[in-house]
Amino acid sequence: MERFFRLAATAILVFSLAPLVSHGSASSPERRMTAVPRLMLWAWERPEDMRFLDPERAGVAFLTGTARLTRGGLDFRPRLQPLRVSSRMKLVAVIRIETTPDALLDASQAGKIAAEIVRAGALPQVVAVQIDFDATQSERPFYRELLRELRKQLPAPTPISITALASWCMGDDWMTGLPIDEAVPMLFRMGVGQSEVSSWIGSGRDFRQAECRDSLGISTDEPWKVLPSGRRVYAFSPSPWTERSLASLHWEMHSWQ
Amino acid sequence: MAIKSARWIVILLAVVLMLAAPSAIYSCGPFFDEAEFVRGNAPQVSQADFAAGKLGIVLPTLRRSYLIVAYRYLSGLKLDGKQQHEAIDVWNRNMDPGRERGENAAIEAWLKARGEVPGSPEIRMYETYAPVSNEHSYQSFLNCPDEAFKSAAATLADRIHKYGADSAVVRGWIAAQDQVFSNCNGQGQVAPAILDSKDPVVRADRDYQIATAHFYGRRFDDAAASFDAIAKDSASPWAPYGSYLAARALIRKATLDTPEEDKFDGPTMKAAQQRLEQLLSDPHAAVTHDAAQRLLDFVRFRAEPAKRIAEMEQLMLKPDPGTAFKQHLWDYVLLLAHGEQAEDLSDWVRTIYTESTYEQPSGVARSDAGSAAEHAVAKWRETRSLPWLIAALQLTGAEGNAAGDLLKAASQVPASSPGFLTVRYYALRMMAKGKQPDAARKELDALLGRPAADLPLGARNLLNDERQRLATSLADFLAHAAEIPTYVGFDVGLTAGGDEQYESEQAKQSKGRPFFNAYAAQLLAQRMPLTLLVESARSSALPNHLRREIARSAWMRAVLVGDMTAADQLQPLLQELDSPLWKMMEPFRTAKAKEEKSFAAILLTLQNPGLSPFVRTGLLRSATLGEMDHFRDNWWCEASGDDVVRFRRERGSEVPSPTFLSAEDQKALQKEMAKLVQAPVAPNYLVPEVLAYAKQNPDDPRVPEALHLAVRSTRWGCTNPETTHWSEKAFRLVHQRYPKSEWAEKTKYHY
Repeated sequence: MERFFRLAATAILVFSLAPLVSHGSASSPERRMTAVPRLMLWAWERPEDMRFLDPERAGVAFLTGTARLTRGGLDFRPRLQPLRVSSRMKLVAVIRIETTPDALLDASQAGKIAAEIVRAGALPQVVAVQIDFDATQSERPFYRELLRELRKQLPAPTPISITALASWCMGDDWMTGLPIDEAVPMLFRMGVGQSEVSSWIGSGRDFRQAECRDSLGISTDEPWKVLPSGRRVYAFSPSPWTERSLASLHWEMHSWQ
Repeated sequence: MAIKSARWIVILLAVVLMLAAPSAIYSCGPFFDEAEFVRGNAPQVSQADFAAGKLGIVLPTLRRSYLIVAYRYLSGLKLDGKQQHEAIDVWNRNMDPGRERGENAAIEAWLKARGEVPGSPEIRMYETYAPVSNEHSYQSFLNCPDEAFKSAAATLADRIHKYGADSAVVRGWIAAQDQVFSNCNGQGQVAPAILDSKDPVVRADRDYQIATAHFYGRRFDDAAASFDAIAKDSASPWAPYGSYLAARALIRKATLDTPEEDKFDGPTMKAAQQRLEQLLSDPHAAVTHDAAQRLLDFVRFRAEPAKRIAEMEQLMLKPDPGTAFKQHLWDYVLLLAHGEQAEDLSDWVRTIYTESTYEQPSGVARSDAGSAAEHAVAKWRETRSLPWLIAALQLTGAEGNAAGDLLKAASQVPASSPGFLTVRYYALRMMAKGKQPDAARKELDALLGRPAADLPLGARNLLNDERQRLATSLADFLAHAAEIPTYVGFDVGLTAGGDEQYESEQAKQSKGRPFFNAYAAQLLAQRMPLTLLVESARSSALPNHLRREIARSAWMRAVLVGDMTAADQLQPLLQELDSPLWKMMEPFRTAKAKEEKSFAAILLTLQNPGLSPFVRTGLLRSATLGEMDHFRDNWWCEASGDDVVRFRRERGSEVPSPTFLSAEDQKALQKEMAKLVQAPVAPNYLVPEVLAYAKQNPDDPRVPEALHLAVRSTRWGCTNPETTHWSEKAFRLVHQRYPKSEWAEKTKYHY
């Protein structure tokens, strides 16, 4: 009997610790992400001159291109608008993914998108890649496949960040086990869900999904009175970034402390 | 001892494992529906209607491309059918349909044609974009457009017809063309070799391919020189295009080979402009005149923006704006956005336009509103035009000096005018805020009395917003409190079709039904005492689902402020509107002692997480009353009601107290709000009440369930750091005093 309990205890211990062991390399997300500045400004598909930005204080996550998945395959449109940054600026290459209703979403498309993202990751001054894909339920298997393929193709030190709907972070566990280093909860344009998320956050609670607890995604035209401080912040501005809009952002972030 | 220890270790580890394992409660994320009552940056009517001159109410937040079309109609001009479609293309940013939809039709057609020539090496797809520069590769441009592939396919078809698919000429042509297109991705530096053939067509084809290879390979001086030579070769079938293509090479050089990313090389661009102007005056180059004109427009857009916007503004205001309306409208909007200005139209757009945001569809506050208003009035006085009347009405406050004159002019705009509804809207706003609220009210009633077909829903809601603010009594307010949203749906990274067209049950059931907009909800939540809420719930002016919402919230508020008399008075209403809830309230109704009644109310509240003292803006709570919403939309957070309106439309705007509140109403409201703002977040209110009752009534059989539900509320309700303390207290009590009860069994954790 004693032996039975000892064996059982060992089995349970091994089983409960196995995820930590198998994700031992997942502990390196923290190490990979240290390359990414704590404040990142999103530069979307419009002319942006961000040379005013101090590279010691912030970085730029810029839309590198949009991958459109259709029945016929992949249509990739790279960034067509200028982006100007200082030569020391750390960059995150963002790829947005869109789909048509009849998109195949097969391994071939996953491989091609992964290749485009790898190429984006190799651009000068890029320290990480980020995928912006509001995958529906039916698209999640494809997204998982894409992320696995991407992790294989990307150099090991390159972090993978993804944007995440707030609902993914608040009780939907589909991101568990994804080979990502960061999921950025997008806390803007949430519609009715905004009050529920805000009361969750405002009550001192945190996102249920661990991947979502290291960063925040906000927009300058939807300021928050309270958000957890000390996390990496990605900020979107509905109009081109200026020193003034950056100053407003700093003021807002300061109020969270 | 060892066995016992090992056993406990197993149990402990099992518990740890259970707690550590992620719970897969949610197999899918929720999609948050929203109700939109007014859209800020698009018209209230369909695009087709707007393009045809049915403007609805022209808001200053409409995108500039809409404002320009509105200006035409307001000035008595029209658009023909084709121009209306082109306007819609511009509004939908549909400037390059094939490319925008991701279709590679031209490339695929070329690959198919090429593939039918025996022996052609397989090529699957081309990279047609190239980086603007190697030093700054973040920006790309379309190096090889669809026309290149269409031209290649057409040429191949002709050469196959002339020489045969299996001929050496055709195979050689394809090989050279493959080399041309290998330059498309900006990495290739390949040009076909010169071909010395006796056949002038073959030789000319090769010369042309060499020139285009230089072009796509960014050797622009070589390309221009090659195309110029082709232009002079009268035997070449490509001669008529030579000069045009040489100009194109210069334009590419001017825009791509510059040290600064967003500038162009002036002298080179000027040289291209001169070539194009010469070309357009050469009748022998007539075949390229259309293309050359478009290219010249492209050049002048960049080289002469001030002149260009002036020309295009004149075009925009011609009775017939021409066959290139789509491109001109697009270019004109871009020039406006870049700050260029010409005459009246651009002045008007610049004066009136303001950005809308998610929270403020009516526009962000402008720092230059005062000077904009002065300018608009001055322009109106000068021109007496309808567009400037609208601008002046929209920007001028009710107390402005010109208000009287503007209102008089507004009254003279006939109902048949495309600007009638817009003028009346802004005039009525001015009258309402100024000295004519009664007249405004009367006219708003007349407008709102129009049948639905005559008044677009968004316009109706805009007018109703103004009417709400003029309510003279509760009944009057209630008659206008609810609006039908123009849109109900969820806003989750949508792409078309598939799961993304998933429409929740709530959205389906909510379509076409009225709900409270932000103003009405805020008034009910924060500006009305219980007595008026009870009266509102009785009103037949509201649909039952909203009466029920009010009745529930009134009952909850009555409990929170300790007004059990009001809570009792609501019973007949609740019986009518919410029979299941009313049945659950039996213990509350029949309780005699105050403590008993309070506990019954608390227990009922715990059993119905949808109860809140505040009505909602827009859609009602998605979960049913008795369901726990696992995204924490349960009970209440801030008792002031700020959370209800915090993230709705017009966030931050204070709603003043309605004028129809009597002194007695205001006094009652003050008392109630003073108590409400003292109430903590729901769990921190509910749990202590349960604990206090449990202490006095330990043998009440309802207590164990109440304690369990109290702990549950700390899991799913709005919490703060104090909540943990209450959660633990309730948890301990149910386990210590009622350890064998089913409720202790169900209460596994505290939070």
